This record gives sequence, C-alpha cells and structure tokens, in this order.
Amino acid sequence: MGTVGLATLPVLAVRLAQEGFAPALPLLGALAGALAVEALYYRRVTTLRDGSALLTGWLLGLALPAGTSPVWALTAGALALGLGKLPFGGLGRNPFNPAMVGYAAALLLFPLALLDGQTGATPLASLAARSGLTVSEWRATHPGPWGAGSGFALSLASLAGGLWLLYRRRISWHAPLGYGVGLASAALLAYDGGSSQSAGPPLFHLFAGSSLFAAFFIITDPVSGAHTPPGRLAMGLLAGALTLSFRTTGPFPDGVAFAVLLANAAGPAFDALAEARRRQTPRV
Amino acid sequence: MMPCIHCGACVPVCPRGLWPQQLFEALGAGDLPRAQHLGLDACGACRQCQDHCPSGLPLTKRFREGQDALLALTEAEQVKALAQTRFLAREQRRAQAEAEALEAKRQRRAEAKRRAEARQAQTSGAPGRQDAQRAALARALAKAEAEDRLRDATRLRAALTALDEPS
Ligand code: SF4
Ligand code: SF4
Repeated sequence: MGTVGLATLPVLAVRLAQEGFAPALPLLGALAGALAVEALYYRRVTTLRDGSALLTGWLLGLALPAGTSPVWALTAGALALGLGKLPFGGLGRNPFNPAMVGYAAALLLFPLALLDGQTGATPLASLAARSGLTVSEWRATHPGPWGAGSGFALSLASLAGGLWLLYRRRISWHAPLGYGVGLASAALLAYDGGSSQSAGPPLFHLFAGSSLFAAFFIITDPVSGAHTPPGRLAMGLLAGALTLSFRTTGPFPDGVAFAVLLANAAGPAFDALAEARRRQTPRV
Repeated sequence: MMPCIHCGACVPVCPRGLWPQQLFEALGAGDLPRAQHLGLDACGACRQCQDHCPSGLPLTKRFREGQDALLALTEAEQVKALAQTRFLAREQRRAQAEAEALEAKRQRRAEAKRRAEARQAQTSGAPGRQDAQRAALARALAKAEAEDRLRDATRLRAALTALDEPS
C-alpha cells in the first residue's frame, strides 16, 4: 500500500503547485474520516497498520476538489469505509472500490459542496456547458494540450506514478489498458469531428478530468471488482466506456466514480466468464 | 495472517500459468470441481506463489491438500466403480441362470406334450381294432340272421350301433 501511496506523490505535488495548499485540507479531512471509522469499528488501532484505510482516505482526498470543506471531506472519508468496506467484512472483501463509494456518496448527498469546491470550471464541465460552440471554437478559449488545461499536468503526474507502479509490478497492466482503450474507443465512436453536439476527441477524454488517475490508482484496486487477468481487462474496458457515457449524458461533469462502481459490480461476472473460458489445464 | 487482498502477485510468478488466488478461493470454498477446472492437477507445489504472497497465505499447502483430496476422491470413485462392475456381473449371471431355468422348463413341458400326443396317437390307432370288431360283429349278425336267431341278431345289432356311436 505504501508503494501505491508513493506513486500518487507526483499527483499531490502537481495539485499543490497549481492550487497552493487548498487541496491539503480535504485530503486531511478524508484521511481522518477513513481512519477514524475503521478504528472505531474495530475498537482498536492495530487494523490501521495494514494501511488500507489510509490508502482509501488518501485516494479519496486526492480526488476531492480543493475547495471542499474539511467537514464534508471527513464525511466522505467516513462514508467510504462505512459504506464501501466495513459492511462487506473489511479488508479483502469489499466488492466496490471504497474510495469511489465515498466519492459517489458525497457527490449524491452533497453535490453542491463538491461542485462549488472546484476552483474554476474544469475543462470537462466547461465543455459540457459550452452552449452550442463547436469543439474547435471551444478550444480557442482553452489552453493546454487538447484543451485539457490544468488537468493535463495532473494526468501526466498520474501517468508517471502509474508507469512506476507497473514497473515495480505493484499493479498489472490489464485494468489500466482496458480503461484507456475503453474510454478512447468510446470517445472515438461518440466523436463526430467536433460539431457543437460532439463530446470531445479521445485524447481530450484521456487527459481531462481524472481519467488517468482512475486508470492507474482506482480501477487497479486489487480487492474490488474482477480478480482474474482477463476479468480485469474486461472490467477496465467497461469502466472506460461507462466513464464516457457518464460524461456525455450524466448529470455531473465527470463520471469516473459511478463508472468504476458499475464496472466493479460486473467484476465477478467477468471472473466467472474468464474461469469458464479457461482451457481445462493451463500450460504445464 | 491477512486475508487474500487479490493483489495478483501470485499470478505472474506461477510457472504453470495457474491463477493461484482463484484456486485458493475455490479450495477455500471446498469447490473441488472448480479447482480442478482451474488446473489444480497441474500445480507443481513449487511455492513460488506462496513466497510472493504479501498476505503470507499458505497457498501451496492448500493446493497440496486439495490434490490429496482429489486423489482420495479418485480412489473412492475407483472402489465404487469396482463394486459396481462386480454387482453388474452378478446380476447378469443371475439373469442368465434364470433364463436358462425358464428355457429348460419350457423344453420339459414341450417334451411332455409331445409324448402325450404320441400316446394319444397310439390309442387312436384303435380304428383298426374297431373295424375288426365291427367286421366280426357284422359277420356274426349275418350268420344269426341267416339262421333266424332273432334274439342274437337284435343283440348284435345293438352292439354294432353302440360301436358306431361316438362315446
Ligand atoms: S505452487 Fe502451484 S500454483 Fe503456486 S506457483 Fe507453484 S505451480 Fe503455481
Ligand atoms: S499473492 Fe496472496 S494476497 Fe495476493 S492475490 Fe495471491 S493469494 Fe491473494
């Protein structure tokens, strides 16, 4: 777990560089909420030592917008553990990504606290609300590669951390590849060349919002969702495609959390399929 | 010992290309057929997966126990199969003996019937004898009529009719 935490440091660094110390408050809030609920539930602090609650709070805190009040962040952290992990039997048993459970619950329970917390409109939100501009017209007002703006640097940071995790073999390539391919191909299918109805080009979707963060740090959660290599690939594909559909038709600018949770739900089915399709005896 | 966190560290290290975490889960649930489908037989108990498991799970140990269970099951099945063959063979022998007994009885009956028919045929070889009797009676009747012995003639005639009337 420590390795994964280390790999997210570039993301934290970029956020601090872009937004000052503002993101630190929700991060601390989410951490406190997650750790407190886990410790209170087990009535001892030794279970914190495996670092899983810490990591859940950390990832959730990194995903929260900078202006989220620490109290809401703490609530989200508590919900992540209290809804997403402990009811299922704790470590190793949660079918859904706890950080995303916390994020989705927060988004549904107090959406304004999260959406108002965003410093300025994100590229995804402004693309969704561009009111009739074609993609190239919209691009003219948005700097940065593919219009991803400040998100681009964050995405690069996620990519760096993720590649390092791959190199260290802390994650397998299946889920991130699936996620990238799923998101990019769905975006390609939905992209009509940039009309005013268009959803934005594939590269924009890959580098905007939290796509790459999700691809390397969220969908790769080993416990939730699918466990077999082909199952993880399929789960990634589904999560990527769902992310695009939530972005284009959902009520919120980004939909990574919902996409990941739905793909998690399909994980066991993908595993069962993968096992059933496996040749009787693998290579001997 | 911690639970399996499905980190997948055991998957790429298995030299047999198995999925140790799924295998572990299947055996933990006592699902031998699923474990067999996942290649339990192929596990070489090399301990690679166990050595790479951050949760320190006794993977190889459980796989070996699983293989033992599979072996025991196979043996039990073999014993069962042997008993079944024996039972079937005995049933077959019994059925055959029964059929043979039935056949013999049938033959005995047919033989008896044949003999009875032959005996009857002999008794009804009587036509010859009856004819002779009739001839003798007729001769006696003719003689009695010629000699005008009326009483004898009447008696003989009655005897002749009695002979002709089927009893
Ligand atoms: S002990 Fe069996 S399952 Fe584990 S790595 Fe060796 S062959 Fe694979
Ligand atoms: S290495 Fe251990 S904890 Fe990780 S997936 Fe395999 S059995 Fe589970």
